[in-house]
Amino acid sequence: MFENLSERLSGILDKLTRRGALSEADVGEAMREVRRALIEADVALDVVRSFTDKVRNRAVGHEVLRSVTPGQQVIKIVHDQLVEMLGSTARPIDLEAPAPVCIMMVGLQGSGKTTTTAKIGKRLGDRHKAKTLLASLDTRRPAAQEQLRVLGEQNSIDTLPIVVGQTPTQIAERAMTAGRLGGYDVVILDTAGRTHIDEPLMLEMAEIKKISKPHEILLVADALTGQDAVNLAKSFDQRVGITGIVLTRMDGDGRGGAALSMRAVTGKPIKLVGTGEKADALEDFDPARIAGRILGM
Amino acid sequence: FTKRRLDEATLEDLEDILIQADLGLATAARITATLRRDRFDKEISDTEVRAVLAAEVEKVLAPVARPLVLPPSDLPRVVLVVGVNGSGKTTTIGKLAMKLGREGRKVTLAAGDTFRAAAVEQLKIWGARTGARVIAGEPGADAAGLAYDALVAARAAGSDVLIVDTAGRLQNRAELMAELEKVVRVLKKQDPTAPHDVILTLDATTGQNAINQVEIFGKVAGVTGLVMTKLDGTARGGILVAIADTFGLPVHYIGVGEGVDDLEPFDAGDFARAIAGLDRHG
Ligand SMILES: Nc1nc2c(ncn2[C@@H]2O[C@H](COP(=O)(O)OP(=O)(O)OP(=O)(O)O)[C@@H](O)[C@H]2O)c(=O)[nH]1
Ligand SMILES: Nc1nc2c(ncn2[C@@H]2O[C@H](COP(=O)(O)OP(=O)(O)OP(=O)(O)O)[C@@H](O)[C@H]2O)c(=O)[nH]1
Ligand SMILES: [K+]
Ligand SMILES: [Mg+2]
Ligand SMILES: [Mg+2]
Repeated sequence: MFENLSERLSGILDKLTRRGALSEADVGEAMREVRRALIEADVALDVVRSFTDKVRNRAVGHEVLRSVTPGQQVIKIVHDQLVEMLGSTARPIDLEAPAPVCIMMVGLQGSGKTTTTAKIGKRLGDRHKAKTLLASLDTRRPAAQEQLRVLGEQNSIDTLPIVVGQTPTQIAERAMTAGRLGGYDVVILDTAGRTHIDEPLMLEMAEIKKISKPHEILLVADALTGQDAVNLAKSFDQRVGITGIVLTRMDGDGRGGAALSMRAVTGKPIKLVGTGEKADALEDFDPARIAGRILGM
Repeated sequence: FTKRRLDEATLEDLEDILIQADLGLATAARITATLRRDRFDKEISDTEVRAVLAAEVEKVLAPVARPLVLPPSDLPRVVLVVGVNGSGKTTTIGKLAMKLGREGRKVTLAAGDTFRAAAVEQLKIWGARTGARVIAGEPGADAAGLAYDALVAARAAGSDVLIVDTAGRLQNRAELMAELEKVVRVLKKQDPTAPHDVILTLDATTGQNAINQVEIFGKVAGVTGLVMTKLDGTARGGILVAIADTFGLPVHYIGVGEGVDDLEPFDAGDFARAIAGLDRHG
């Protein structure tokens, strides 16, 4: 639909024939294009601003090398800055805590929590030989607990038996007890989806945290999310203190600007990305790849 | 109250409001350009500014605010519900079944998501809640075959409406889109005029990708109308403005919660006011 940023910046900057450093004016025009590209990629407006400010500072005064075109040089600065803001080093799930290590999944409705719960359970089993128990605390969505039970069965991961009538906090307690008594290394708590302005449900989420003392609290969010990414990430982080983010539906053709937004407003690392519906469609976060996608390259 | 000039700086602020509501750059710029042309440099209060903005957005949305109309017929009216994963298809079907049931129609639901874990059980619970009959097959069964069987069953039972649930799929997954095309094809074998309505559910939190969703689902499944879900959160769903502008597809309903009654008609004025940051009924 659009020319990619690289082409656009080349169009603007490569006509600079004079040698020397990039001027305020050259960079200013280029930053308008960067802004456009980021907004088209769903990066939140405030984050776009702080990003372009940082890039501007880096680019102004930058020596234009004879061998490389100015457009390409600015693209490299933009790309590097994006990678830096996305978090240059991969941060895997941390299991360094006394067993059973609790991982709690939170997020908006339909973001992919239950699917990701099973994916993580499978990965921990396959890669770390971790004995993992999955527990659904979702007493609200029709057949949510059954969904996790089936996923556990399909992937040979234990799930906490369903007891009808228990509240989410009661299930959390039972899950942690079962985790201890059953000699599990990891207990993953799948919670019901909630909007971050639903006060009773946000309180319930904090209550679950208090009971289960999770070592990781992962915010599961859709890579296709638009400008709302900042609101949801901020709210979930403020209310439970997330330790990381999982970005789902990266197999879509969205540009994934939400990654930058959520990382920027929470400072919390993106730990994993979901790339499909099946249990093995989970990958480590690769900032360079996402940077390329956000820039449409 | 303070008046301010609707000058270039104010217009830029307005454009930002629209961008933050997910209208996208082009649509946001187009709407602020109209304001610039018609109102530039007038003295105007903040609330007035927003009201003017809302009015401009409403102009785009008003033509697409069209409820789902199911004309009475001898054969079941077939409503196919499609969309990306987790966008709210199954829940919307439950809410629709309730609404139609209350209007006195006999509703059958087809559990066409034979893929996702417990998708069938989920729809069955909605069936039980709303009194709609549910036709389901084995997990992993062919979705098109199930849709066909469900239409046969709906006819035999004298149902007024058959609503077909489908598995969530991302529009760029060609093989999954081909499967959906097959569901449409197979329904036509039973009734060449089916599906009569193809509803695409759009999640309000989705950004610019929703445009691709409408385009590709439209091409593959012949989408006839939209439902935007999850408007009870903080997302404004402004991409719908760009979509109305580009595709002109009717928006039938909005989803405002997980309960059976959380389906409202789409009101262009309310929606536009929320985008402009005014009270929905302000
Ligand atoms: N294509 C794709 N689909 C995904 C991915 N992760 C999850 N899904 C699908 O998204 C839909 C919703 O996933 P769930 O795991 O049920 O989401 P949830 O957050 O548990 O939903 P609630 O419990 O209702 O809030 C399902 O159809 C999943 O198959 C992903 O990475 N890619
Ligand atoms: N807050 C809110 N949640 C909603 C709304 N509509 C659906 N949901 C929730 O979103 C989640 C996903 O809804 P589903 O109906 O399962 O979505 P789906 O499109 O059928 O999902 P798949 O079949 O997995 O692709 C569930 O937790 C629903 O309760 C809405 O209008 N508001
Ligand atoms: K979503
Ligand atoms: Mg779930
Ligand atoms: Mg469904």
